[in-house]
Amino acid sequence: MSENQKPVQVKLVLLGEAAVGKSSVVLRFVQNDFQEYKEPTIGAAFLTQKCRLEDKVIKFEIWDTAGQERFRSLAPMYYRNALSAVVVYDITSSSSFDKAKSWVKELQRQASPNVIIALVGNKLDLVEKSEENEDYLDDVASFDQNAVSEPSQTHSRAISRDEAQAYAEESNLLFFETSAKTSEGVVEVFTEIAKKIPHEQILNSTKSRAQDQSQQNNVSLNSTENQPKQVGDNCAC
Amino acid sequence: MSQLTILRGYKDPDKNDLLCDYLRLPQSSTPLIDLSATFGVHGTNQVFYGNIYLFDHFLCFKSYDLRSCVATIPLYSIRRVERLSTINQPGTLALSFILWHGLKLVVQLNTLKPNSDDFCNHLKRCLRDQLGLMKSVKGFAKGCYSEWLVGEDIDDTNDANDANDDINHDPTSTHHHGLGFLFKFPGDPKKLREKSKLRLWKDYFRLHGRNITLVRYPQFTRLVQVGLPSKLRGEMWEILSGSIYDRFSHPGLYQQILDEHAGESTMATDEIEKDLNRSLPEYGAYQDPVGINALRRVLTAYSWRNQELGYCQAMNILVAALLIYMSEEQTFWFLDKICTRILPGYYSASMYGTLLDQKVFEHLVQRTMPSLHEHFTASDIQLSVSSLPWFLSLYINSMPLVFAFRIIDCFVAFGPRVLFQVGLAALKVNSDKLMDATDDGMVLSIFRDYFANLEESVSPQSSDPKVLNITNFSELLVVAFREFSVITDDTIIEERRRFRGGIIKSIELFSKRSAIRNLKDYGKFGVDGVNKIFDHFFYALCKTPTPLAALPPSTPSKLRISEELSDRTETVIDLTTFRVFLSDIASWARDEKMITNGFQQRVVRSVPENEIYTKMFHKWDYTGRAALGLQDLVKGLNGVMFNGLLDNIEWFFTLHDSDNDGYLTKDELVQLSESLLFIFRAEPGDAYLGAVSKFMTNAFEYADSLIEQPQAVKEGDKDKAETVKKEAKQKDPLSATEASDNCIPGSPQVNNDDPYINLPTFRMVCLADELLEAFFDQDLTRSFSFEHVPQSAIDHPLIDLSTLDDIGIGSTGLVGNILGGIFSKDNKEMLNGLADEIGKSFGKHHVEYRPAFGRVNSQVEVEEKRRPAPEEKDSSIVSGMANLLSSTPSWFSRSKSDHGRQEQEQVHEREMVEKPSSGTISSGGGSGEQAEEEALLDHQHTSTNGESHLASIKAAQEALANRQAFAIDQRDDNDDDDTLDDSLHSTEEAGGEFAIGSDEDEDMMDEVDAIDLDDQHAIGAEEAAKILNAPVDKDQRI
Repeated sequence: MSENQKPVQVKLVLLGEAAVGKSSVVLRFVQNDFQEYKEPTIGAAFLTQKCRLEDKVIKFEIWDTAGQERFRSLAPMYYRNALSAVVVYDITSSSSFDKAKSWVKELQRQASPNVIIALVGNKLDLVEKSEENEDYLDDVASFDQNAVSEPSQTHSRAISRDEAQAYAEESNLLFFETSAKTSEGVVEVFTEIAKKIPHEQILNSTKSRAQDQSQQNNVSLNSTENQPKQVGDNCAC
Repeated sequence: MSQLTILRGYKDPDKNDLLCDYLRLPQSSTPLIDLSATFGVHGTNQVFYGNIYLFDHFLCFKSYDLRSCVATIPLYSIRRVERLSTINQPGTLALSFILWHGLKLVVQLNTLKPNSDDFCNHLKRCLRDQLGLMKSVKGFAKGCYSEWLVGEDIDDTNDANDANDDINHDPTSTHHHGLGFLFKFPGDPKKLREKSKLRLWKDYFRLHGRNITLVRYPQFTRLVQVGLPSKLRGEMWEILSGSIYDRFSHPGLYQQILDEHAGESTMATDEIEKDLNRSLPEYGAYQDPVGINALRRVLTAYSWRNQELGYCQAMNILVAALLIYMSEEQTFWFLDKICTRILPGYYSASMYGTLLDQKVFEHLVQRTMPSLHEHFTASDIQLSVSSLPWFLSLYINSMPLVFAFRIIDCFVAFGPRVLFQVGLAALKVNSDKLMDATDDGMVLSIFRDYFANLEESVSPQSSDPKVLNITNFSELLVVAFREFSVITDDTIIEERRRFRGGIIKSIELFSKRSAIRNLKDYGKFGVDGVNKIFDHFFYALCKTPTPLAALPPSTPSKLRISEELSDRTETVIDLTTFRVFLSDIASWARDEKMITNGFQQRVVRSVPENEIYTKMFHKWDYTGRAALGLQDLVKGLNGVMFNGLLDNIEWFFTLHDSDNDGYLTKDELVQLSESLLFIFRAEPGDAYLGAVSKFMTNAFEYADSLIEQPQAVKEGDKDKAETVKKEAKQKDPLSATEASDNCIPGSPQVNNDDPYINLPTFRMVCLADELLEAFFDQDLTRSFSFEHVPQSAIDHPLIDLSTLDDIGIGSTGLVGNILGGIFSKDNKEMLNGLADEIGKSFGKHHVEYRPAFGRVNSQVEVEEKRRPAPEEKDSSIVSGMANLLSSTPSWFSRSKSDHGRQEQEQVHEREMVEKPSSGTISSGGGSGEQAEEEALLDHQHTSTNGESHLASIKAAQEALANRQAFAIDQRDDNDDDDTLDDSLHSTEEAGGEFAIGSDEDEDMMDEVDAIDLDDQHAIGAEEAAKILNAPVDKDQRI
């Protein structure tokens, strides 16, 4: 079953409060790039990335969603049929952690029953730097006042690793802390998700897709056979 | 989940709203007078037939042929009105209006003398009213780029105004301008032919007026369609949208809002802050504090101006784009226009406008490209995944900026239909590829590639330079406005009406789901119970009128509620709504009367006044925000609905213990007794009254006796009471004596607000009475119950269902809607009143108060008149208590007539809420009729005009023969003519004269023609077919 031409497609959706760095995490993963100022996502963005796990090829179809609360009613449109979800929060903002929890709750109730959820605390670079070097903040502030996009002036950690870890274990989530800026931890998120994906099941369900297409609860993936023109790697841009 | 009730209050635009929108008037109003007239601008040879409208502040003209001529002239810009001689046409009245810019409009009224006299009188009055504003015109016009443009070489203009003399040649210092003047406009000015365009506009302005006096002629539309010149763009957007009139009439408001709220921060400002650096970051101005600060100011000011809306992501991108061409103040007003008039609900908290238009768009795809739609359905592709961002950001972040602004030009000029037309065209042009797409991701990337290559030629291999010049973008516009010319404003209005109900319902369902999910604590209710509580909560929210019943019904009162109380993430209710909520759940919290009059039997519910609501409201206000959210209600109800005897006694005690010190004061004890009396008010007989009076006597006796023997309890918890008592005595001997007067003789002196009775004593006193024990044991808890809120009640909460149901009318589905319309509140009130009157005259009128508990035998049917008034029972209450009661104001002293009045108020309040529902229904029918009429008019007009252009018709028919029949054509089967008409329309105009165009501009106008859609006079039918065939062929293959 591990033919290289037949990658396993995994639909993955990113959720979380506005400006926690969802798009940046994706950008880091897909293009290994970082932009200080990324336009807010309107509706959702779509990217793909292939990765190799042992002898299998996995193609992530990543839906990066808008974070603002009022876009929330649109989210079901994007997370339907998602096999995995990455719920992102900003470790310097406790409100974003609350929002993340409520996303987890929603996913556990509304999304596909076996959705794999990863909880990701982003912006690790902010606290690491301030922990290492107290002057860093002043530098940032004096460098460009307008550039500080986070309203919390002191970039101190608001959510401890332990607290998040405990919550993740209790809710049966994968847990990571990342920095899209330094790329710390980003790839691990996707690798661990890839490991947890029940590949056999997907390939099977892919074959029988025609029959159970209409059943929403079924893990329905887009058939590779019916898809002569692959979106391909060039799509990951 | 705020804004719920606002969605309910939505009213379809009526005829006047549509007219005012069309004329771009600041507010919707009814024209004072509306006459058929002939209209022309002096110096041009064109004359138009149409209607002249006089509004309080505007004089407007709209030609019968909607594509020809529109003028919206503010009265303050009219300098002079003259009566022209009409010797050769006796009986008609002709007027000339000389406008501020020296423009002369000639209007001949085609009507009888009385009408024209009427017109003149109104006009005189209105002009006089606007005199004061005329002074502001000069200063205002100075701020317009068009003035500078026209005055640039003032020599060759005979313009009467000399306001421009002092303009120096750095225009940015005097007129409103966008960031583009400093940071360059997007696109290559040469390629965009900025100079030619500006020259054309300059000529246009000289003949047809500018800024506030601009008259739209046919060539105006063409000039907009080729793309506005960058320097003029901001101002033209203002004029096209009408936001310029708002800016004129609110000078300084923008700055004032900013000053008033300087330094304040809200959730909206926090969100704005996060996005400032993420708005068109590639444009120079937004890498600079100048641009960032402007963006911050406009977004912040607007979040204050429209607090209901606040800030929605995508607005940052929109505003960043607008600021390139407009000043902050211009942007502010233009944004207001977009959010409130052009795209209402797009950026609102629920985004219902966005969701609605996605639904509409999807349906239009289904109608016009059925096979594509089928393919999407079969492949489980959700179109809105791609199209939602197009609409929400007006294509700004989907296309290269240069092209997006071209779309916005058209959008501002022709309205929201442009967004749909462009979207449909994008689908049509790419339909081949889309038919091969198998998932959302592929669809997204097809569009991404397509939009990125809009600049490319459609057929790069072509040898014909003219064909080579046709870019993907011009093709897109041609397809949008030509192929999809069937999509009119009326189509959009119609489609929106069709889907609105469904969208609101799904938003509400979503709100419910997320509100319930956000609950941290379900108490003992479980999911089911919590759902029921939400239904009641929502129902109460829908039917509760504003707390300020004195407001005139037209005031959008619901808006106030949510504005003041909503914290945006959660809907909360105030005391008034809470009372309604509680009255639906607890039987003692409502007055229920069964009215029988021989014809019908109905139950009338009302909410009485009492302190107990306020007490519960405050007790349940766990977060201390003077408002209750769903969680508060769940927690509050949880604290009373699952109680046993002792819990209930404690609950009731705590409810009245306002400072939570474990003691009730004398005052509180009295209040508690009043609460009991209130709760038992509808129980028949004297039993409860007796119980309460006995309770009072006992309570005072025991409390006093405990305080009398301080030694006995000194070591215990009583010593506190003692010390307090002593202190109070020293502090305020006067009131202490007063208090002693009120007490049973010989009792110790205790202030009315000193701790007096504690829970154990209270419990003992309660348990001493059988009825009270029963009340606390079971009755109180049982009195709370979630009645079934019928789904239809939630669907149509504005119709009083309790009444409708009782006369046997269901109100679901279509029939229900119609009946709901017939049985508007007014009618129903009348009907009920009438029945009551007749019933009374027969002696059949009968009102029965339903008891809340019914423990005491309630079979005694009491007629309204004979209902025992509490006052009559004074004798049975011990004198001490009577004394106390009479000293405090309470519901108890109210007579029956008071009750009656309250009820009336209640009814009146309900009326206010229900009016909109009937309004919607009637206006719906009305505007439909009007649309039909208009269509008919248009039709006639077109065909008569068309006759004079036989040659063009022939060409059109040829073009038609080449054109694949359109899905939408086939669907509306009555319109073989319709298609013809459309082609006629365009060719007919092609026959018309094209006035503009000096030699050097001809080249430029060629481009205009290539993409021009309504007029293809320069393109032969053959060429047109060539352009059109490309997408058509694709459709064939589908």
